[in-house]
This record gives sequence, structure tokens and C-alpha cells, in this order.
Amino acid sequence: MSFWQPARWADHAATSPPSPLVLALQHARSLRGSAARVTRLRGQLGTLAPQLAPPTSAAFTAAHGAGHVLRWLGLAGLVAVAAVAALSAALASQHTPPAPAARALPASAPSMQAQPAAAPAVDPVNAAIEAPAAVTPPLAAAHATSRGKLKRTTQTTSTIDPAQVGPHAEAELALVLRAQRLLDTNPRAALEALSEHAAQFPHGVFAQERDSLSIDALRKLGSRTQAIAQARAFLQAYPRSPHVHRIALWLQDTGANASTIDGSDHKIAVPALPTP
Amino acid sequence: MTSTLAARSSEAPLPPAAGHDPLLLSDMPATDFEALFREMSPYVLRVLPRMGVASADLDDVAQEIFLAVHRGLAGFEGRSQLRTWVYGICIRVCSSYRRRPRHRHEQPAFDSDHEHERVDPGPGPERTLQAQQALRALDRALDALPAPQRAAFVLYEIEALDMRDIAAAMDCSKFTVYARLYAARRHVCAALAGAGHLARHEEGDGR
Repeated sequence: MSFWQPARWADHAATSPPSPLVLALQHARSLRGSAARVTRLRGQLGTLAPQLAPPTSAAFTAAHGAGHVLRWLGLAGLVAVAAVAALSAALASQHTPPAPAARALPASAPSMQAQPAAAPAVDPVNAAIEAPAAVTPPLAAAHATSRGKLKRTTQTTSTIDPAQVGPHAEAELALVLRAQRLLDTNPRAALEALSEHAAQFPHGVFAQERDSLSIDALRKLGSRTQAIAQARAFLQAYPRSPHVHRIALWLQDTGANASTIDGSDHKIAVPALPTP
Repeated sequence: MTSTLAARSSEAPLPPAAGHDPLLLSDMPATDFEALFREMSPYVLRVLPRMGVASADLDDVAQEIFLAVHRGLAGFEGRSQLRTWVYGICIRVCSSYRRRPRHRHEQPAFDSDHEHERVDPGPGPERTLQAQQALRALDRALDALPAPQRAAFVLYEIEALDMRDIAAAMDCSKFTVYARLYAARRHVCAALAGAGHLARHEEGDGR
């Protein structure tokens, strides 16, 4: 049986311009939790409860199909953070014993244990993360500069392959996750964690995430000039990064031009988001 | 095993809030937490700030909700839509959160470009800025409401749930939901400048 529903305020769009209240409600409706936050939450749930460890990218891809995965992801940014979560899961699976759950789940809780799966020859999720060679990551470059060691080095890889990340990946991930957790409450501490990452792992597998987070931290600290400089360096270093769209949009909003490393200026071209 | 819901989720990015496809028990095996998380987490993260959860507490509260969802999923009896059930958990967790003496009282930081994404390109930066300012004013008005009124307002006006679903989520009668919604509307109208014409809309809703 249907029940009478009063008209919703957000549907009252007859006035032009709409009233602040209608505008607020329509805006609230149009928002979604960001892909980065969703992925971070998913990773944290896996850390809290091993039963909730998200599936590895390989298992996820095998279960759902690469095309479906990429269509569902939609936003390129999610591709990168999903890979981070996948690597987190892969690393977590190497723990013996696993991290203790902060909140005990009942034994009858459905098991969400990641399926063991061999790494595929080509993982489309990981393959989507590419970075140009021969460019030093911005924060790492800043760090090298501060120590008088600036030199261009070849970035051998930024493709996150859990099978080849080496023994340092866990420490890398811990620093990046720490920075993520601190970003809202203590951006200065987040920046310190990121600087530590840049010092220890200048070309680590999470260099893009580190540099993207450092821009956010600088913005939150009010260091606009530094944030703009970092954002420009990021666009130069990782023109195909999934984070480019968000950073370029912000840079465009600031009214700043993108100044390239070779000194030429050009207007920022915001890349189009991939169509699902 | 690929569930019906998982397959649907992979084909369509996210359903709209209004007219949302109901998540039915029959659609989803009880073990398919992944599919439920993918489907609902963007909405849970959206609704929490409107329910008064401070930005700094958002991750913790969202974790609490999804751990509760995971715990309860096996025992979900299907007497309501799965989406409604998740919103019900949100209401209870938020209510508990607001009772905690140490929950943060600062105004949630509006950080739409980092923590939220627009599902449409928007009408331009000027209008977006106006909308963000208006949303902050709305949040301030909602802060002064009792939790049940606030939940009724948010679930009806923003999440576009039906009265019946809100009643199920809040475990009360539909008439109680009406009473809470209209009380919240009156307060929001009074609190927000420029909302006078909405009061007239309210009067014209058949009351």
C-alpha cells in the first residue's frame, strides 16, 4: 500500500535562482563519499578484522572481470587507491599471525577471507597505474634538494605489483596510511610522515599517493604557495596519474598557471574523467 | 561466486539516491559484504556529516557502522530493505556517537573536493560555492535539532527514503516520522534566511 509522501524540498526548483535551502539540499544530494575515502575505509576494516580483508586485485579481477571492474570504478582516482588497498590486503595476508581485530567478530560471521590467487601476467588494475620515467617525484625531489642531492633519476616502476614490492613495501604503506589517518586532524604530522616516506623511499611504490597527500596536507596547513608548487610538480611528474584530475581541478580553481619544470608556462588542461 | 548484486554493481556505478533500487535480501547472499559495502559506503559517508558526525570522526563512525553491518548481515531477516536496514544502523550508531561526552563538537569541515565527489559536473564554481555555503548553514540549523528530528529530515529530504522506510529504520510509526519531519522543517525554515517560500510549500502540502 502506498503512503502519502509530502513533496520534498529539494524538488522545489521552480524559483530561479533556487533558495539557499533548496540549493543546500540539492548539493547535499549530489555528494558521495569520495573514492579515496571509501577505499581507505575498506582498508581500515580489513585491518580491524582479518575476516574483512578485502580481496586481492587478482582475486577481485578473476571474480568480476577486468572490464566490469574498471567500469564500476569509473573514476580514475579509485584505480590507484584500489591498488593500494589490494596491496594492503596482499601484505596483510603475509602476516603471521594476522593483525589482531580491534573489535571481535562472532565466529559465525561470514568469512570474507581473500581467495588465494596467482598473480596474473597482466593485472589491468595495476597496469592502469603508470608514471613516466625519468622524472623525480615532487616530494622526493624536494627532499633531495634540501640535502643538496637533486638529480634526475629514472623511476623504474610505479606499478604496484604485490609480488615484487619487496621487503620495504609494508613500511612504505604504514607511513602512507599514517599520513592518511592524520590528514584531517593533524596535517603537520601527516606531512612529517610523508617527508619520512620521501626520505626513505624516494621512488617507492606509493610515491604518487605520498605526493598527492602532501598537496592536501599543505592546503590544510594554509601553505597555498607551496601546495601550488607541489601540484605543478605533480602534474609534471605524473601526467597520467589517476590523481591528476582532482589536482588539476584544484590548481585551476586557484587561478594559477601550471609552470613546468623547464620554465615554460601553460594553461592547465584538466583531463577528462574516463567514461564508465 | 558472483552474486546478482555484485554483477549489477559492476555494471552500474552507483544508483541515484532518489528512486534507489532497493537492496533486497533475495538479491544478495548473506556473505556478500563486499557488494553491500561497495553499494552503500558512498551513501553512508555522505549521510554521516548531515547526521552531525564531525569530519575528524567520520572514519571511526563509518567503521563502526560497517562492522555492525558485517556482524548483523548473517542474521538479517529481510523484513525491510537492506538499504533501510543499513540506514537504521547509521541512526543508532550516530545516536550513540552524539551521546558520547568526548565526541568532537567542531563544525564538520566541508571538504568536498577531497572527501566527497560530485556525481554531476555542477553548474559552475560560483554556484558550487553558494551551494557549499548554503549546506554549511543547513548543517548549523540541523545541529540544533534533536537527533530523531534530524534523522527524519535527512533521510527524507536528502536520502529520499519513503516514509515507510524511514519508519522502519527508526523503529517507529509513520505518523511519528511525519511529526518529526514537520517539526524539523519548521525549525530549518526558521533558521535559514530566504526559506520563506518553502514554508508556504509546506503549508500547501495538504496539511
